[in-house]
Amino acid sequence: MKELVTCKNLTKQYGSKLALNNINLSLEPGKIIGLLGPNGSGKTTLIKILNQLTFPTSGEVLIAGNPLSVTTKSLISYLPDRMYLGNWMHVSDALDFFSDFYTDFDRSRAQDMLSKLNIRLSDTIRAMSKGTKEKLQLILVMSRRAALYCLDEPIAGVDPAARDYILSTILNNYAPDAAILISTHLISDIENILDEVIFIRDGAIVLQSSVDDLRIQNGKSVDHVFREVFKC
Amino acid sequence: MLGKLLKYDWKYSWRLLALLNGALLIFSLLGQLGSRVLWHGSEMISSMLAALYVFIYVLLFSGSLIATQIILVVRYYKNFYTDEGYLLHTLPVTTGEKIWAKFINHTLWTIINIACLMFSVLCLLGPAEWGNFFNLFPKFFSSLSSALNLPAAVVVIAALAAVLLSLAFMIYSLYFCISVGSLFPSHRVIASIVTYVVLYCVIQFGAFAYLISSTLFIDRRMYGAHPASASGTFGIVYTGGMLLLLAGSALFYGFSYYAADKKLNLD
Repeated sequence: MKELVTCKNLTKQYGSKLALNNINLSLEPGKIIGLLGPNGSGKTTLIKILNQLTFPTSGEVLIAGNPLSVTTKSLISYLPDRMYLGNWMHVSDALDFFSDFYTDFDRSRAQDMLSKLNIRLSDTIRAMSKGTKEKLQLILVMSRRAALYCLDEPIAGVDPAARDYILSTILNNYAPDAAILISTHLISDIENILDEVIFIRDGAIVLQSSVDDLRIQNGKSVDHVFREVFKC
Repeated sequence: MLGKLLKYDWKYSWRLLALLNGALLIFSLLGQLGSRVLWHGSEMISSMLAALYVFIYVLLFSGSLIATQIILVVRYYKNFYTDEGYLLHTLPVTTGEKIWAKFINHTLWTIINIACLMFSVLCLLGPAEWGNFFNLFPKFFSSLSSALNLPAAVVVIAALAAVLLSLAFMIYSLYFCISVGSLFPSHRVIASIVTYVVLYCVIQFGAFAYLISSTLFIDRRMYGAHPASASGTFGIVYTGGMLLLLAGSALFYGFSYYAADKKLNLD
């Protein structure tokens, strides 16, 4: 199968701190991949590089065979670990914004999901609760027909009910030929939807395996393996 | 994509800036109407109200001038270098398009703001003075045209070009300061402000040095052993100034582009 993401000897250094250390990685389409590691392990840095929010010190990244560029930005749907929509926007503005810039944005799908949550198009983002903002952002991101979804800590800091909503939204809305890269350290909540896991520690990949192989080889859940690998 | 970016920059700024500039215009119109009414009232009350009015007017006038620039600069900073940057920089658009969209919106609003400031002054002067006010421009350009021995149209175009280029220089210098600030790992706003203060001093010193050297140059050309024509001398000094403004604008744009394209590092 053709690789969707390829990282070759990828290194990122912030001053004297090595955030990513010579990473070699390939991701295939049609999979949900968990990028798992403790805080400060380099998960967000890797996702930021894929989205060109920071640049590698050395090494190469290819998305669907293309080097990082404006073209690769149109292939990736990115959910950061923070609110990136302007507070001045109404929900309708946010929908217009995504429709204008992303040709793969499915507006009717987004509107359908918003109406199920009773989020009105006239609502302003400024007046929304943190949880509603996060759901709006997730809906916008998952309403794109992208080749790669990069979701950075999508379930961190949300209540269990919201967690279920987020996971079901992810599962019900991604295209089968797309890949989803989910970064998190909350393994137990997410491991049931993962096809593959990548363990990252101190900027280096310590394991990449399919979830089924990992469970069979260790006779344990991914969460248990993670706890053993990252034991303090 | 430039048009789409511009659309959202305009959408962001128009409500606030229309309110700000609209408030100034309405207050100026009220001042004009009020002056006619108060003219026939008690002298003491008229004086007190006039003093209060002038105080508020000066606040609104300078406030709209400063706030317009602050709102547009903050838009640039927030959109490029805070959480909003996570959206802007993942859009499938080029860095040049992002900067140009901000610049065009900034230029348009600065021109609208200047027009509103001028209109507010006209409102206060009253229709009787409008004729004199509008005659100032033809008189100024006509005397400049005869002094330089150049067609009036050339002088007007040259002045307009100088105003627009100065505007570009000013706006890109603000973007430059924000871009320098963005390179710092923390306290980026303070770093931007310090950069602005330093840059402002450098620009003022540079402009002063250019004016002094131009004056010496003009003296030598006009009154030296072989006097040159006024238009020729003006042309050289003007072109030199325009080239400096153009070079400065290009430098500021180039650095802003570099910072956003090659050195982007959002928190």
